[in-house]
Amino acid sequence: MLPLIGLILGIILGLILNIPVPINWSKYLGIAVLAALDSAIGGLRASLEMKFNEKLFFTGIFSNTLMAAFIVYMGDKLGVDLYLAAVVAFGVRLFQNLALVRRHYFQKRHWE
Amino acid sequence: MKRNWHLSITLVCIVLGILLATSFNTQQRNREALNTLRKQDLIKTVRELEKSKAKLEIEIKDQRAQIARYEELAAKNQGILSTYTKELDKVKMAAGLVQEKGPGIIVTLADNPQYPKDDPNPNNYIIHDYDIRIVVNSLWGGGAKAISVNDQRLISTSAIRCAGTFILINSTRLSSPYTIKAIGDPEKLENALNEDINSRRFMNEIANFYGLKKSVTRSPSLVIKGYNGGLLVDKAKVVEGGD
Repeated sequence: MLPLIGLILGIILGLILNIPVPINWSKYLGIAVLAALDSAIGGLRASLEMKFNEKLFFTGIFSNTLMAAFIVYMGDKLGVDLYLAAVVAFGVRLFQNLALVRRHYFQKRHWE
Repeated sequence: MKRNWHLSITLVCIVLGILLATSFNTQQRNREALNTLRKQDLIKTVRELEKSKAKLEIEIKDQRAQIARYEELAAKNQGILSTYTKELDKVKMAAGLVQEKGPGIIVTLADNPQYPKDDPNPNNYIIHDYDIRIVVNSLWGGGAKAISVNDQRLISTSAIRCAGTFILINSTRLSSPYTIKAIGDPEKLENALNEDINSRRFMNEIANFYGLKKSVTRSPSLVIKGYNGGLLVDKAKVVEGGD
């Protein structure tokens, strides 16, 4: 519940702030969105599996985002759409984690 | 522990929300930006061309002044040339290349500043190129010696036409309000505006109905500057047998 409120709060904040982002940065923004989404779902999954570790969580976010940004940057410089790699990686992970979270909830219901 | 992960994920969710909203806004802006890029290019081109046009006009003015000086010198030197020079001055006056002074009238036309929002056609509430054409034609009919619209001297090759939100006269962009100066007999000019059916309808019925601003004032002494643009016509040709 709390994360959902946080998400809505964030969206409202973003719309109010309306931070101007240059056009060439929009790719990075997309990747950042994916990374954040992946981290949120990943964290949820870890917490459901009782494996949540704060340090791991935050370092994961940073390293993932930075790596993704680096890949996008390299792609820009080399003229190859490398950012697709980041998109695919995050996407796959996202769906995997989502599936696990779903399974977890159903199993819980099942056991109780 | 439990609170911990809740807080962490909430934090990430706030960031995610901000990113999402920013991304959304950026996308919206990009869509506009793509359209405005082309527009900005065109605007820049127009601005540059207008600048160079202004420069060229100044150059033309200088050159003509130079020519006039030479003509004066020549007229002083030779009797036969002075006749030609007088002739030339007359022709220049008729062509609208020299400044005109004298009594006349000033007709001011302006868009209606607030047109009703429920009217689907805002075009009714602004001054169009044809409105100005109607008024100018009536003034010529009233024996005007010289006419200018917003200080653009009308000559034989002047066109009054519509270009988007502007009216182009001598390829110069003009916008409301429009000040039309005409030199001639003020009474005749004013009568001409009333006698011509088109200008009468426009000045009295249409302007009042749509709340267009208009005023006609007589002036004992008007000054209308000469035309400074180019006179070259490269597309139009004289018709054989026409006069």
